[in-house]
Amino acid sequence: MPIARFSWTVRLLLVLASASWSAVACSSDEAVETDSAATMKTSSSSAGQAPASGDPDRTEPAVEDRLALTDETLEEYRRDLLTLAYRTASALPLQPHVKTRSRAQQSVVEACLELGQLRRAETVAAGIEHWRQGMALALLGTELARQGRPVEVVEPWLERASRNAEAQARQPNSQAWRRERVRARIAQAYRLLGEAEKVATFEAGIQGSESGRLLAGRAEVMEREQVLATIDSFESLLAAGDLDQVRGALKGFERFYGRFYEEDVIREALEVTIQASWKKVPREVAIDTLMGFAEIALAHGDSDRALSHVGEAQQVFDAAVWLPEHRVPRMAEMAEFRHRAGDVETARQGLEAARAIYDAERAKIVDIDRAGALRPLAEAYQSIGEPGVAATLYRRAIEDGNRNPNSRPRAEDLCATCLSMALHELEPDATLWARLKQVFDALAEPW
Amino acid sequence: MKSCVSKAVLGTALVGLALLGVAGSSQAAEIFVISDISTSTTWTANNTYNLQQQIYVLPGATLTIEAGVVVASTTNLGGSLAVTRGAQIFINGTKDKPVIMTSKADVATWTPLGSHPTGGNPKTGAWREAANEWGNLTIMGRAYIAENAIGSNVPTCNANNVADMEGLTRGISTDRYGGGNDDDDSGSISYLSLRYGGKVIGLNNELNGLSLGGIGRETDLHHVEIMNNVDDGIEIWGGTLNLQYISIWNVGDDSFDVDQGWRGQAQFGLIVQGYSLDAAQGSGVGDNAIETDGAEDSDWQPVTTATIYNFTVIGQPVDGDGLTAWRDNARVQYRNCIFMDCGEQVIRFDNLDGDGANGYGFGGTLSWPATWATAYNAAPPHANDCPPSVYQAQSDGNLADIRDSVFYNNQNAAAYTEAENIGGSGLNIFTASGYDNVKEPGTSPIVSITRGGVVTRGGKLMVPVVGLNPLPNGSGRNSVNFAPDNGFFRSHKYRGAFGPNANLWTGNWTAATAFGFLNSDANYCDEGNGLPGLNGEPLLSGSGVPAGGNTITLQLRKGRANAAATWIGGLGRIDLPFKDGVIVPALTFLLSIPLDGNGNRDLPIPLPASLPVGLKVFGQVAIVDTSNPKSFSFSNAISFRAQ
Repeated sequence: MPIARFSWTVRLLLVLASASWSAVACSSDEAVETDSAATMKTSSSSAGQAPASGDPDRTEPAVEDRLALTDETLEEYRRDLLTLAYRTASALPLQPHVKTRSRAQQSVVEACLELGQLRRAETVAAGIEHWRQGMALALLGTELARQGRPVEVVEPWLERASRNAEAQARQPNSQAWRRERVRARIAQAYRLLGEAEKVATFEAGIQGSESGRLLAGRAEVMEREQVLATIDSFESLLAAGDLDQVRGALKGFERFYGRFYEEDVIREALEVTIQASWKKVPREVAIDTLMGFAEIALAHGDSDRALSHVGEAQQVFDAAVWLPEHRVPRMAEMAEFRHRAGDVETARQGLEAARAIYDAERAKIVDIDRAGALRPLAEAYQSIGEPGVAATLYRRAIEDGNRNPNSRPRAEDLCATCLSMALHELEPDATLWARLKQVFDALAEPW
Repeated sequence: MKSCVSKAVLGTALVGLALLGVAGSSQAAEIFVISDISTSTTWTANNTYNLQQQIYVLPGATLTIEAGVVVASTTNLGGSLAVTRGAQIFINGTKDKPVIMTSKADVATWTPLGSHPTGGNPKTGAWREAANEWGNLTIMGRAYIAENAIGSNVPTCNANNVADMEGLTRGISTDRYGGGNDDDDSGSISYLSLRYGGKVIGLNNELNGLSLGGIGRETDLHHVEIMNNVDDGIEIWGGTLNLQYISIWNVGDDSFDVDQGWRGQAQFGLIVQGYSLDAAQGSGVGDNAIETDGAEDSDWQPVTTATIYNFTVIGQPVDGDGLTAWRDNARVQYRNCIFMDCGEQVIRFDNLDGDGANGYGFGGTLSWPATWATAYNAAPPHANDCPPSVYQAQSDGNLADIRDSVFYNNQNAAAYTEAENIGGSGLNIFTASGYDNVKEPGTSPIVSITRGGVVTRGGKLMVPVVGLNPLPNGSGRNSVNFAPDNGFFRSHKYRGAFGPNANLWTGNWTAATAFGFLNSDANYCDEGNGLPGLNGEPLLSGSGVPAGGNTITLQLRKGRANAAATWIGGLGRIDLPFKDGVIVPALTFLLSIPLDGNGNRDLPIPLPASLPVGLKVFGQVAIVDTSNPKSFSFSNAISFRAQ
């Protein structure tokens, strides 16, 4: 069109009513209904607000993609707990709490994947707004890859995850790290699939806080010689790298430890090398790493070495002053492990000490942090075969997590407590069920 | 929960809100906020809010502030707002309806407007020599910090390391920040204007305009202004917050101050140094424009490691302090910036923060010159220097550097002493390879600046900025390198906070605009969503009054030379993803507009006389550009409302 004359005579080419566009760009909240998935659907009354529609990036997955997803057999009460966790997360209003809601929904996805509920996980992911839908889909794809599913089954989910991440990155005032975190997870899935080219594509440009996740992912498939070289280079990484890279490397070392546990050279090199980091990373990272090593040793039937790692973690723990909301969970975690490793007496003493600290320090813990301190304690008692005590502690977590006058923190705690019970096989009795539902029903303004 | 008049009277959930008066329209009320917010609350634009003391948003509670809310506190009473760890704040201002937190004395300068709850028009007003008229906004989070004043804290980065917030006196249950969650989420803030603050009740201390302690990266913050404040403009302690579109004017201490291990990124900042009061420098008269501390102590973790793109930093030419001050192991990269009118050193090596920390090189950390010579990802030579950051906000270059920036009218005899010989190492940021800095070009890097007469304030000679067109000029119009295109930074190729011929993002929501300091067309709003091409993000702007019968002009800059392009207009927005970009306008009009040999195009548009007042129109340009993998680039979108 000639532009010599600029005037208000521009061509009227398209007038698209937003309603008709919305119809073209279908919403993704239609789920392939299964018995379990159907129960996950959140009613508009409990959700407060329906997911936004009209987002062209949230295209519906193909039916055949969904059919590839199945749920493993799971006890009814655990399915119900997952459902309640999802309904609780989804009850958080999108405005202003879309970020909190999405985080809680992502935690449900993670629990579903851990329990083999892939279709259920997908249904939950479909209802997530904000960037965490991409993260949830990437987690789903990674789990499928980990299970050895073929690329044609996995890739549609990774592509959806990528589309979501790119769409989020295009939003005004977006944050780069969110996109990069999703891409790092997608890269990990492709690595498990052996798709090196795709790995490179999705790793390209990942920087800063998310780069450490790449190091952890690479450890899953690294060849033996590379493993040795990586261990050798840890000291320089430790000196030069940021914590996220060091943490990623330590996560990678856990994978090495598991993969090469039977090789004395590698195992011992890892055990020696990680100690160099203890003065250079947060103590919680050091303890996480040592507990990860302990789990692997125990899985190999080496309880002495496992307890040795826990003993080292205990030393790191004892060397610091901890806030009670951090102290109690760590004590519970180490005690629970000791019990599994055969040090029953020390374990029981540790759990009792943790309970006593909670009782003594409870008033110093802000109400929104109390349930988070209690849940690991309940999980530990459940693990050592004391479901009665565990149920008591879960009840207490429910009550202590229900103190805040606002529904947002109460919903976060209820969701987390339901997931904890589902993951740790604590079947609520009728009274506890009633209380859970009562707490859920009470979620309302003010949020 | 909306806090309307009737609910304020009847609702038990509104503890802390008392209804005392009605102003403006019949529905409007002045709500006196008299106690802490323990239950989530929404402040609505049909009311005005008056902080009567230090108000806390307590853990678990959420304060939502709607677009257009004015929080006007009783002058000199000291009302203030603090958001505790575990609480959240959502300030939902918009370009057209910012949230303003100020004093009643400020509101008194606004042109009367009976329909507004304050009784005045918030887009008007007159600058006053004043500050300390109310408190501030403080937000506390749970991200990692480095602070050594609490006895139980340890040098290693630790979730148990906490700090007491400056200027708060309630106690540890409300005043502490820090933790172990760098992804912490304190809420979202957009289009917020903070004015004339800094007062602390019953304490010989001062508050920053916006205090951010241990804020995690899941918190969103953009388009924030500080106009006049007795202490710093924005201060950040630790955490991983990223910021965009920051405007800081005439504050009484440092304009932008970071400490205790901030590991974030920032892009688009306008800093104009001046004064708020006739008081000592640092308590009413501007100090450093940007002051960066690494950690407390300097060998603690994490240490400040940050990247800042596209700041325009305008100092005080006679008695101002430095434009960038460096202390205690801070590691900051400045890129594509404008540094001008400095009355002291452009790079000021303070080394120590004056609070007992030990500066660069302490405990085996990198020395000052070594910090400038060490790659962002290199292994430091000292075993104790570990790790350089907990979260690297840097992706290239050296731990400390200033590149691709222009320095202008910095007349102090020592202005460039440090910049031309960092720590005596011989590093000259103007001559070193790859630095691409421009020193004292022949023409100003901004379009215009107007200063008032010289006055003495706090014993310092101050020359206030009374008029500014900060659009880039000369060497400000083109940088050598692009800002990265990483989803946070916008990939532009110019220096300073504003693009050539762009509409100012300070637009119609800031005090700087309301007070008449900014000389630019505020009729057009930058709606973002550009997609870079060969020359970075093409820039679309508008000029002229968009009223029926007038001719306005749309200007496209930095497109691909001689490229085919299409102007897209719409009477609404659709945000349609297309070819890796986003088409913002609702596709009502398309017009072919080939670009000239410089990649530019001016498009005059006569508006029909019958153009309905209030009609909002969006525009954007799509450009065929094979440098982009999808063969398209997009300008930013702009919008205007017919007058």
